[in-house]
Amino acid sequence: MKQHIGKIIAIFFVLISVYLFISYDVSQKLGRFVVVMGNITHALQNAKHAYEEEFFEISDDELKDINITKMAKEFKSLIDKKKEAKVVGSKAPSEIQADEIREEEIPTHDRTRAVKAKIVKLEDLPDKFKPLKQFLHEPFKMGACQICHTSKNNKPGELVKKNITDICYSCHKTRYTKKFDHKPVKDGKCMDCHDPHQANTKSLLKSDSVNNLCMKCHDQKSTFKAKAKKQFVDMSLGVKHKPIVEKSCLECHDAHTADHKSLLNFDAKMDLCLDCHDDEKEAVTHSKFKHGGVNTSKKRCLECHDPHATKYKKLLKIDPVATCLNCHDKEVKSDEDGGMLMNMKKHLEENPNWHKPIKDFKKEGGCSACHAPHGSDNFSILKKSFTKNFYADLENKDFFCFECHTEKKITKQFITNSSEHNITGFRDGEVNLHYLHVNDRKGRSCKACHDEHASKYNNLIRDYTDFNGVRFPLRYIETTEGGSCAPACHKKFGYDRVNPVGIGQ
Amino acid sequence: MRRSMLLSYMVFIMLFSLSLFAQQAQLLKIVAPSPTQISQENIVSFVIEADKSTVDLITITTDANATFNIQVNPNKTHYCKTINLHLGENIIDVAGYKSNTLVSEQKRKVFLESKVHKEYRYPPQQYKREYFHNETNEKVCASCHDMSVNEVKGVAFKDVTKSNCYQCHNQVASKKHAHAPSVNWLCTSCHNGKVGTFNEADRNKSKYTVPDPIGPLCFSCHEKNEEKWGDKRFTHEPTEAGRCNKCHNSHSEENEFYLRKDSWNLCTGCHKDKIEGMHIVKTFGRKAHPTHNVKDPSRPGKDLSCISCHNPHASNASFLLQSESVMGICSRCHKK
Repeated sequence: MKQHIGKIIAIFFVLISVYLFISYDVSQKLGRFVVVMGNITHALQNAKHAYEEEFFEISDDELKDINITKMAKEFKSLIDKKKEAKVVGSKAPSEIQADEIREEEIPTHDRTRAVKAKIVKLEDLPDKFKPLKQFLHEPFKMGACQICHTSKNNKPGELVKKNITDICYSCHKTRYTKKFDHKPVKDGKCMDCHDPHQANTKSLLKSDSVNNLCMKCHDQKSTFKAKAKKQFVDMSLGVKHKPIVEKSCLECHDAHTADHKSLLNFDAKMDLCLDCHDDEKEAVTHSKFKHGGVNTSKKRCLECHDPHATKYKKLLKIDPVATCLNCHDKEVKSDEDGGMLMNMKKHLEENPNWHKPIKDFKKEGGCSACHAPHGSDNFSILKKSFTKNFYADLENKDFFCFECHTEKKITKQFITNSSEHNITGFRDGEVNLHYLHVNDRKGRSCKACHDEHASKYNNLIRDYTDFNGVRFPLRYIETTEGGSCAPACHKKFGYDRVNPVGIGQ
Repeated sequence: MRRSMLLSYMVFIMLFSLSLFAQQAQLLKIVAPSPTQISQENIVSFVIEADKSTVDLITITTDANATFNIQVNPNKTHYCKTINLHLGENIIDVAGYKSNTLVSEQKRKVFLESKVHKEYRYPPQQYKREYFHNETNEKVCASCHDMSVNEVKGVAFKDVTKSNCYQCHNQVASKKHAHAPSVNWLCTSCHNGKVGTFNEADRNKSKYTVPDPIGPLCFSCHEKNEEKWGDKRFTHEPTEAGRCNKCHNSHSEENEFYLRKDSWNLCTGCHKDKIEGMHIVKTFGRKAHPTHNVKDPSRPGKDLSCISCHNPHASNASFLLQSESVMGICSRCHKK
């Protein structure tokens, strides 16, 4: 017996190990262990190759092929071109480059030349010039009245030359002759804006600030109404363009002459705006889906915005929804896929229940609550991505809707607590029917049942839903504590919040 | 002389009897169906021409003893009635009464064929395929019914009873599981009047023929399935041939997926060898693994059936199994 004990133990041990191996857990764990080890060894074997491919080197031969000097030249010419583009060739006869105009504007005065003239001491100046103001015209400051006024005739104020422009331009040699001139400049009425002797404002303006000077003519209530014609700016409105308030009109306009209409340095429609508005520049020029309203319209930015002042936020000409409906009052061709976009105005007129951002546009922002009007990388220029499909995987959760609406609407299977009843009214007793519709094997997009703009029914329930290119009616009937639906998806099913029908089971 | 008299008598009797027959035929004329007709759907529409002066009551009796009475109206000449059919031969009796006396009686035989019942698959030779919607028949109906297609392409009816097809054909979409285009009465999306390679003979016979094979038409909506099944190694023969309607009833059916029978009976209709014997594996209790009549753990709430393990359309696994590995197929139910 004793000599067999070793054999018996060995057999016993083998049996146990075999039993353990056969039994599910050990074999499974062993299997997993083998797989994991296999993965590790595989990864180790491949690790070297994997890293090698990450880098790439340029050989010396390749380097020689790259002609750096040529590249530099090209780059320089590109920069030069850009510069040239800025410095648009002026028609100024004095052949002064536009860049230099500013520097040339204030002439330096030669004292020797002034000495020859009869110097009038400041004390001897007529009373009307006293007390002296902050900024003095250089000849006036020197008392060199003779530069402009004749001394032969004792009548004060007699000018050397008949035309005031001839006197001004004799020192201020830059003639303002770009493509467009300011009307007073064209007419030679320098004195309309500038005082020839002294002023409390820089550039010897006849007003206490640039803006006020401009508004003397360009205000609808102005007495100079006739002069400014239609180019009125109503600065009494609530929302004003920041540069006008913080700086002056000259941020965009040139007071004398410019190459673009309305005395602007850039094209008023868009280039001028994008010069400052970098964010919008990115959206307008680089987004995947562009808005035709900005990109292909006639007036570009000015199609919707007023550059000076309006009643509405974002300097919109009219209220945010009306702005959009201005164009979307008919079927418009989409730049996205060439299809036709719906007539939104008609849709809103026909369906009285509007989505809150549209209904309450003052608070919620109107269409731009969901759409990015300057362009977006998401279809329908949506601000965030949304699914285009009827069936949408809830795992993705890229439902833009949950920015405002609570996600519990679809994630909470049973709504047992009466305090949570406001999460959703679409329930049969305690069973959340949103959950049933969205969390199934085929989760449905919100848009399957809800119209995101407007509907005849409450809760924006759709009249028709598009499935495979066919419009099926939902046949929704609302009751006091529930309702029923008979879409193409199922037969007529009803639900009731108080007396459950039992649809969820 | 006598011989000629006898002859003339005989001629008279013959003519008289013939005229009797002729008169009877005029009393009640059945426009449709033809005396022996095949039906593919479980309904047949009777169109009967009757005149108030000769007949005042029409009675239609089926061989299942369902009786329908139609009162003859002086203002109408044609009467119609849709009758439900059972599988196989239906003998329907149409009788005309004038003040409670039988004046005319005719019989119609309609054979309801079925693609999945072997005994009803091939109708006897006397039966013929007839198509109702041709010009002459529609002219008859047009006195009461609007025979135009009032369906707007791509938009379903809000009230399906407004469909012109609904009035006569409403029975086809009345069952539990109904196909959306059918139950929304978008009939012409499939009944487009075209023919396929298998029903070339039906060309121009009706305005509403459906192409056979129907596959391409089905895939025009179920496009994802075409993609999914297209690149599989093995395909079930009816799927391959595009004859989806062999197993599915594209209108409505009592069984899920609009199957013409419940899935187990449907499969075993062709695969008869799987009904008996040890399909799958013999267990220790010497019982075969069940194939039906038990709950299916892999599909909660449903019964075990062939489709629990086999994919009825296409698969990369041999025997069209749902999973490519043997363990995979077993572990669908037998979890640790």
